[in-house]
Amino acid sequence: MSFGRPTSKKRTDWLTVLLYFLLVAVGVAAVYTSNYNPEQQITWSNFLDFQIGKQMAWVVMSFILILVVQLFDRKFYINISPILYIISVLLLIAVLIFGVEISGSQSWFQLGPLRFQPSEIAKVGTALMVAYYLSDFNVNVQKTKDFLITAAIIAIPMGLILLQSDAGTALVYTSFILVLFREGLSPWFLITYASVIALFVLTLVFTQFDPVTLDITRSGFKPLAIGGGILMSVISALYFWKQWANIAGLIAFFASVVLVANFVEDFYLLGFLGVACVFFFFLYFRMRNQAFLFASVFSLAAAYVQTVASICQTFLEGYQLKRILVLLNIIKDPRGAGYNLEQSKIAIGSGGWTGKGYLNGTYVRSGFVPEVDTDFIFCNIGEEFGFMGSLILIGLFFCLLFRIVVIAERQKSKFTRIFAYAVASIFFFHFLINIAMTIGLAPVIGIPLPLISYGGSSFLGFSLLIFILIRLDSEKKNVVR
Amino acid sequence: MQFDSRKYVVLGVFLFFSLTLLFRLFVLQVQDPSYKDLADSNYIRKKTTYPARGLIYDRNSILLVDNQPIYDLMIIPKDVPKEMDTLKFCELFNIDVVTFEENMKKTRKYSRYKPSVFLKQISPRVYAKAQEYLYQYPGYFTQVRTIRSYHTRGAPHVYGYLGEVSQSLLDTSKYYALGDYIGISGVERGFEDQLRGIKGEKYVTVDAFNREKESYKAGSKDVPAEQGQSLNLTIDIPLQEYAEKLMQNKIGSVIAIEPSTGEILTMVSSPSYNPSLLTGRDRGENMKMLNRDSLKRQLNRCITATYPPGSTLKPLVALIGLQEGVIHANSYARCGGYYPVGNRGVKCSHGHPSCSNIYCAIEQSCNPYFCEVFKRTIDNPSYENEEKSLAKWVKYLREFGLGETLDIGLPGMVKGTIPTVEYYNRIYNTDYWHWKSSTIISLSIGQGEFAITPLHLANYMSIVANRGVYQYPHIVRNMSRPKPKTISIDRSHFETIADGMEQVMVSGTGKWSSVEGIDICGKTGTAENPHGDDHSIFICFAPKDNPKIAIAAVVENAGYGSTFAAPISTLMIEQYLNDTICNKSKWREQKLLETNLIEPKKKKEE
Ligand SMILES: [Zn+2]
Repeated sequence: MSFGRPTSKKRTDWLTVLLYFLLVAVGVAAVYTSNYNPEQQITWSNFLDFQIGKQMAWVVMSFILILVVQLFDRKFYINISPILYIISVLLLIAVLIFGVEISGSQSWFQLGPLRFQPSEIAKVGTALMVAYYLSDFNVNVQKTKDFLITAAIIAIPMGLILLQSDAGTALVYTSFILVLFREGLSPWFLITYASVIALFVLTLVFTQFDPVTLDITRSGFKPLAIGGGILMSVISALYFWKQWANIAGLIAFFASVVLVANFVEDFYLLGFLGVACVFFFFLYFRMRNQAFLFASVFSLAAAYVQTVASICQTFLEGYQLKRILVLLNIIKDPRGAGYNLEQSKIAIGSGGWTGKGYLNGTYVRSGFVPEVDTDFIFCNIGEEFGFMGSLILIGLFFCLLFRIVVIAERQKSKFTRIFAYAVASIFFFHFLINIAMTIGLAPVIGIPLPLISYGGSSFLGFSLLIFILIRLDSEKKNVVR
Repeated sequence: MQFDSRKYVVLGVFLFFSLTLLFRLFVLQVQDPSYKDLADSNYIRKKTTYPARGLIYDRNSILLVDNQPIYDLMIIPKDVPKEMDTLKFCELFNIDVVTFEENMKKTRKYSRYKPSVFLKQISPRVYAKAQEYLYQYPGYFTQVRTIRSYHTRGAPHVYGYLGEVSQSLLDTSKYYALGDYIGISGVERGFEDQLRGIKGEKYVTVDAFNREKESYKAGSKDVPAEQGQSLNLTIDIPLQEYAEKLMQNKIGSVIAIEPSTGEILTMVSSPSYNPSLLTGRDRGENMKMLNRDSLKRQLNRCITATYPPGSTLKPLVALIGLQEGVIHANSYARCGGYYPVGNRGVKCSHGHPSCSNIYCAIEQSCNPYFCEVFKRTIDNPSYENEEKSLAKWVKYLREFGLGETLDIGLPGMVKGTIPTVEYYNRIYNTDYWHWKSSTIISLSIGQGEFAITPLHLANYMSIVANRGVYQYPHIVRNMSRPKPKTISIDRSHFETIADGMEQVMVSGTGKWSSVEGIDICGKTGTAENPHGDDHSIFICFAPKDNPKIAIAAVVENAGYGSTFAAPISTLMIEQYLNDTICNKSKWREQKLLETNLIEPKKKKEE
């Protein structure tokens, strides 16, 4: 489908390349310091016994691969997108059957001494596939059917990763909402995304848990329903100003939800809310009176609140739920999750303005902080380079994200633009959540800091994302899709 | 483009969250000084508080094992300065420079940053001195923990001993640290998870002179250690100690079980050892000494030594014969002092007229009678061939737990071996000749392909005492175990056998050990020992109705079952049921206490 000249002068975006190598340098240095032991001599012969040696091996392998990536043109990447996506999905299925379990998630292939995590590579496949599908001229994400297909493309790998008990990596896929937003998805989806998270937190805050067994000792439904009902009543009164029938009807409905919750069991309450949600939506559909939409949305939100605690208990491992509850200060777990978080904060906090200097991070290496070369690697940077180091690292990431958006916006090719946004979203989610969890702003869900954390598969995955983008960008003059 | 302006929203999101992170980091790293203080590990020390291990009681809540405090010298290698006065340090702690260097190396290898034990169990005197001078040596500090102390010398094989965790466990376990103690044998090992408790953490502030000042943040960050759960053994310690006294200077085992519950009342393995040897500072030396001892004192013979059951198997052979219908209580079998089989024959040593019923046969332990019973069982025409009938016979043995690993709560139980059809097919089968009942006739008198432990014997006796109800034997009260099951042999047959075993004590092979006023059912046995004198075996239960105790006793190299194993068992019964030994039995007790079977054996070996 291409027109124009088949090839033209290639223009590599050297600024992105530079930012990439700066981050890689920071990462290698951080992995080295996190396992630094002056007693141990690293020589050429035992090099690969050390984390830093293994990581260097992956870095070199990735460098070779990113050169290979430059050999193909955009047309090739467009054509290969569905194939790569299918391979990714097949790998995710295969790992459920043949994979090995490491610290609770069955998400690894073991090939001799090499470990490989297909969920890291699946991000590349999914990003390409989303770009492939949405860049079709006939597809518009505002159309329900096209939106659902796009959602399915994202949800399939996400669901498979959830089956591996790797909730953290699965959540990364929710970041695609930014891509869809840029391509025209209604802002209501972003608002819904934020509301879902807010209601999730609120519900857990109002639910009482047994601190040991994590059983629900008191549901948080009633206080939230009363509070939400009052809030919604006020909003309805303002929104439907002087439409007395609507206001009265809505207030009556909110009150009845609270009343019903008082008298029936949880299971029937859920049924009632489900029926109400569908019924009012149907009425809205027929009569186009927004009051019905209000009632439907309220029922849906109430049903979500009613089930969220049970959902947590079903889909989250005990320790994951515990981390979230500790973060929200709902339970205390000074021996486990709470202790680790406290240690992580102490390590970062002890860095001060300028840190203790490279390889002098005594606190991290005293063994107080867990997984300090992977999920908690930011502790090293925080302790050894202090706030200035944090500022520089966050600055580097922000510059990279900014640059990717700039690249995206200068494309005439829709495919490249969408892929660029996907890359930015994935990087953003990892970078935000990883650092946030080490300083107590997000629950510890165990996802790596891009290009910094120890781990070959993730390093490879992030390198591929950046360099496929650089390759696509280099031929932006030849527009197609 | 329609949605171009949305790039500003996306960039806004990126910027907003990046600034949020930076703001939080600014507060954490620059504004709030508390984290900086916290991190300075020279000022805050995390100490592990060790839980006291769970206590161990006997069945009547008599305390057997508890704890006493000891002091360890700990080290954090990274805090030890390069220049330190090693000689003075060694003098303070009474060690030589070589030990110092070795321990330094070992602890450094474990971790430079985590605390580990440098010297174990320093004496109270050295501890007092160390408190005064330790500030001169940064990186070292003392820590209290507890070791076992024993209130009895009885039953050391049951509770077992502790030892340091192995390197392989250190590599895989998150709980244990270098120098921690863990159960190595007995219930200390079998119930390690319950007994060990949960370690706690304590934070103390340390001044610039390495002196501990106060608990950090008034102890609000401390996590107290939780003591391990106590265990109640099923052992009756007075009876245990009495049995051990009777077994002194003899090699062998005695196990007593309460048939109605399966609770093990005594478990004696002789010769024994003093449990206090394996705790305290000299544990290593004592361990070496015990390992050199040819008598293998730490071995729990009750569950690891195996013997052929000899004549003690006969009641079971009879039970199977009765259940299979090949004999009845009044079956006759000729005894001319000899049972003809091929060109070998099985002798009957007891010199008695032929038996016209099973009671007589058990009473006289008549070998030809049981050969006949076994022959009829194997040649039973209701079965297709010998293989089928022998398989059925073996199935009965397995029902009684013979040749099975019995999970009584102690690790290291030996399964033993019992005969199998496959074995004989392999050994005796050729194209033109197949094994017959006569080939394997020695099984009928408990010889041949048998190797079972004293625990197997006691368990079997407990089932007979219960008239076929199998209460799973166990050593810790209320431990999880299978529900009791019923053996597929009619209760009436058990009554027949009990009558026969009663006769043994009235007028048969056990009459010299009977106790006036107690209705004991017993059976003597002798296990052939190709390496020396035969082993004396005795199994019994009492009283005959509503039995309170079932016993199996094995005394090695002691000849017939009636000479040693029987009087030891009946004295225990008397002590357990009457709480005293009557004058008529006193001379037997006296004789047993005086007998030393180990000395002559040792001499012989020399
Ligand atoms: Zn005879």
